[in-house]
Amino acid sequence: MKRPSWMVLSLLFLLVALETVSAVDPVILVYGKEMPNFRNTVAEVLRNDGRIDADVIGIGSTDCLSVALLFPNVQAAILVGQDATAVRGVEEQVMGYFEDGGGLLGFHDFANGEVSSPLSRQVFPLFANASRLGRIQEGDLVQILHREQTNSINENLPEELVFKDAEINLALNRGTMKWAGITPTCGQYTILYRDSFYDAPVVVAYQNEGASVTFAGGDITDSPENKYRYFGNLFHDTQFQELLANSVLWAEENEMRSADMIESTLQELEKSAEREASLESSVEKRRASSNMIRNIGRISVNVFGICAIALIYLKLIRNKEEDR
Amino acid sequence: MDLSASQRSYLGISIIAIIGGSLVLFNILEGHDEAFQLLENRHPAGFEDIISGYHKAFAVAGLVRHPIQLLRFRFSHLVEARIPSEYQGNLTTSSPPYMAEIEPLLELSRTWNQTPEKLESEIEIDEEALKITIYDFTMLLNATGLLTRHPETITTFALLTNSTGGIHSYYKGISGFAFENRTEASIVHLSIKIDESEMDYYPPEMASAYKALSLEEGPKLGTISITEAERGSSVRVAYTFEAPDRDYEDSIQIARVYVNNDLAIMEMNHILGVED
Repeated sequence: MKRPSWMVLSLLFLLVALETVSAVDPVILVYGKEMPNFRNTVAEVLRNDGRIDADVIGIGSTDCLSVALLFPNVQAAILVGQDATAVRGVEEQVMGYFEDGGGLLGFHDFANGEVSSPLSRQVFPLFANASRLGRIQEGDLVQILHREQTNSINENLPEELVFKDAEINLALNRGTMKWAGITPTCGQYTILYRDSFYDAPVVVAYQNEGASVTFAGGDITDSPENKYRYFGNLFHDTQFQELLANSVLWAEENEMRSADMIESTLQELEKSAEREASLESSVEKRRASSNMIRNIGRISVNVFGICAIALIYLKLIRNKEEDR
Repeated sequence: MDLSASQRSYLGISIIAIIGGSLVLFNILEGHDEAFQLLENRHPAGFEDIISGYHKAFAVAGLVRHPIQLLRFRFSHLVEARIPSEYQGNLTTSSPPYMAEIEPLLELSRTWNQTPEKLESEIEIDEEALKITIYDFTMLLNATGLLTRHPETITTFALLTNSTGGIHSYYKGISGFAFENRTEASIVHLSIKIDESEMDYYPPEMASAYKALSLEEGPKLGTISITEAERGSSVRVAYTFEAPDRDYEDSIQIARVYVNNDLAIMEMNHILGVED
């Protein structure tokens, strides 16, 4: 049976519309100001993990991060603050993103109370104002983390994580010389790992409006020249890479921002396109009719003018020639 | 009164010349297709003027020459920015540093099958003619509904290049009437005048004292939309800044006029910074 062509066209239109909706891919941001190696390494780890189906985009400036966090399809953002300049100027935007339901992973100064006080109290719940290295044995770092509570981030990871020549810095309160405590009074937090030697909390998952995973604060650098502070010591460790990817997946699963916001933004874009199209067609119609009126007017004035010239020529100039 | 033949002839030629001239003028004026004619573009030369309070107002005014269904004014303010140090090594024309800074935003826009508004024009700074390329993400971000909550967000980036293609400077800023938290300069009065009808907006505390409209109720993101602007109408948008006495970077004010969604006028005004 031959289908009417409008049906085929409608189906095609529907397919194109569905394609447009599904074309909004989820995005994971990796932010590290002046840390291109960090951004590239983390992006590579996430892209190589078959479970993560999102575009991974590296961001190197505070202004870009502020804008990028407004995009509705950002499902998770991994933030590293190597110093205060990487954090200041984006606190409000990060807070807003979390309050809207966004997913975050925070490293180092993003979880340092001295630098990012509101964030470390309300988004990354390990409040401390300083950090220190873990246990160093005969000049080498060896960190053993033991699992305290379980969720989907660590359920498939060993009870103990052992990092050699690498570690997650420990968050310490300088005044009291006590390890960081858990700060928020609301929401749900899960202490995933503690340092076995010092018993300090090291990895904490937190859910309130949004979902965050905090890795205890400390110094970090992009350069391998600094033996203890180089990020690669830890991020090239396969066990840590799994912990990182699991944390991103958990943040993506528990974020509550993107689904509704993508839908409302698509609707707004659609409405805006419709408004533009309707304005264009109405302008086109008006232009056609006003052009017609203008052309009639212009022709009339020109015809009238030419007739007047002809008349004057006949009456005043040609008659003179005839008189001669 | 009887005229001689030669007098009649001269009179005829004169009248024909007047009618012919008028016809030519009529056809030239009627053929003029500019729907909005810019009559005024006023801005302070530098922050010195804004600080001292002298000639501190910005104003754009013009005449509607043909009926316009949607006449939109958009204002942006950009401040000269330092190129992030990690990109400073890439100061080449083929890979301008600002591209590295805004590339992630272009990538994010692509996930929405959208592109930012890209504008190219010319600007003169210190008597040097420069090419300016602007990337404006405002309209796309506005669709998220989040931008009005965070009007201080940098949404517009501009790179200035000289005649040999070398990078002259880099600017970034916001869509709005003020420079916002970038400079601490703040808007103290906004006036929108259409023919004889004028609307004045003031900061909330002044608005209640003056029993006038508050800027909080005023147009958002530096955008003013006028529907059904009639032929012959005059429109003027003016706003005034106040800035504390301190150092300021050079800035650029971009004033755009859209006629039925098409960019009709773009004026770029350089405002000299203040340095000790």
